Amino acid sequence: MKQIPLALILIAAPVALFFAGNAYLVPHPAEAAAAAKPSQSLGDLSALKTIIADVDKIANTGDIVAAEKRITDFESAWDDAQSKLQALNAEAWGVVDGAADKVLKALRAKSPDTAKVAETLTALSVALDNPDGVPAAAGGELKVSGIVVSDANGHALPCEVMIKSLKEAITTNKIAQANSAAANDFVAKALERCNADDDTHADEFSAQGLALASK
Amino acid sequence: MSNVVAYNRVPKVTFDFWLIKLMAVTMGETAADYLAVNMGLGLTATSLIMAGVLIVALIAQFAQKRYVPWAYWLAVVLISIVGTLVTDNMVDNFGITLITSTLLFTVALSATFALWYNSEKTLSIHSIFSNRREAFYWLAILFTFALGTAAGDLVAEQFAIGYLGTGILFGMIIASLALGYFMLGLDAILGFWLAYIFTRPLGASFGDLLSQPREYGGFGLGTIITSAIFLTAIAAIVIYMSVTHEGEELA
Repeated sequence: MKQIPLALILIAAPVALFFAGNAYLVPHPAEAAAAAKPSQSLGDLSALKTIIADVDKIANTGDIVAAEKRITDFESAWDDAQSKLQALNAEAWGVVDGAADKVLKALRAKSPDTAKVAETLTALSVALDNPDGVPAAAGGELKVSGIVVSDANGHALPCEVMIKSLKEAITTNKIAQANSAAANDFVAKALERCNADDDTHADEFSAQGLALASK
Repeated sequence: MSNVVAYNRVPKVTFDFWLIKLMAVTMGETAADYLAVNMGLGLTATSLIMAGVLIVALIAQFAQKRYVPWAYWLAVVLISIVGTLVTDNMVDNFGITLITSTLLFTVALSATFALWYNSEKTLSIHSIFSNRREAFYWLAILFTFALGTAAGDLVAEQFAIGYLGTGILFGMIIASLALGYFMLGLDAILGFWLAYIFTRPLGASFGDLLSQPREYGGFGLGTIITSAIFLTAIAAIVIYMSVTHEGEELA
């Protein structure tokens, strides 16, 4: 019975040839995605992040006065770097500056609201992590509307899995009644793409539907 | 009909055989997409209706007792549609993953061949002259379609190489099997069934390539026009085969 090994070789050989050629001609999806992802246009912001982490720690103890004192370090460092950072990327600078203004306003309010302080601090650290507004993807995960649509290698998740979780979100009323028509529309669009073996686009529709749950 | 002469009830495997098989598959994929999406009956109802039509077509095919092109190819086209719907159903309605269904259909196909060989002591497709052999033949066809669908979808999902890439990949596998058959002594029956499996994803990827909207990497012909083009081509070849008696043989 050397027929079975022969058949396996006849199948494996063209598969190997195809993927070798494919890897040679087309960049790997995860690499392509990584290459397409703009690097942090403001450069190294770790010194600023450290201060904000400090402020957050102090604010969590409830000592708003001490937190306000520490944030002045951030304020002066941020102002000193303004011309340099604005020249690098004015838009990204504006994202962080806006978030920083909110923190200062919350800390310096007449009667500071600790919840408001914590919220604005979180927003600022997110902005510092990602001033370009690109979803902070762990590894090669791709996101649509803040929902993960691929595995760590950038491969689209099975569209059936995502459609299932979207359907569940609708039936368990995680998505508000007002949005259920829109959500069902996304289910239909995703199913249509899914049946056409187009997982990438199907997942985009599912993610847009799932994003309704947070509205 | 005389009982002395036994006809082979299924066609000889010729170039036209593969051409029409490939088109039947392409049409099966686009027609299944069209029926499930546009008819508004839902996947379950569509599947049940098409399964009913398939059963009628198979009864007509069994009644011929010989190879009659229209009956045979009508059954193949419908198996192609139903096979696609079954796989879509398993995944969409029952949540069975593509890996599981690929393994499931591999086991089912192997079991069919084992039972067929056990019962008939041959897997020859040139001596399908009894109802029992014909039943094994069609069961194997059904599972090759289902396996080809699941495996093709799995490749599309895992590697995201696009419709054209998928088509090229499976085209290369089929070319390699043909080379093996003509040059390296690959067994004719093994080669036939393997090619039968791989022509399913090949045809489906070309069907999707033609019918899917441009924004999703297709040519944007739509499922109706694509299905109509292939149905016309199939009908033309079937008429040609009927007139020339191509593919007929004694068992």
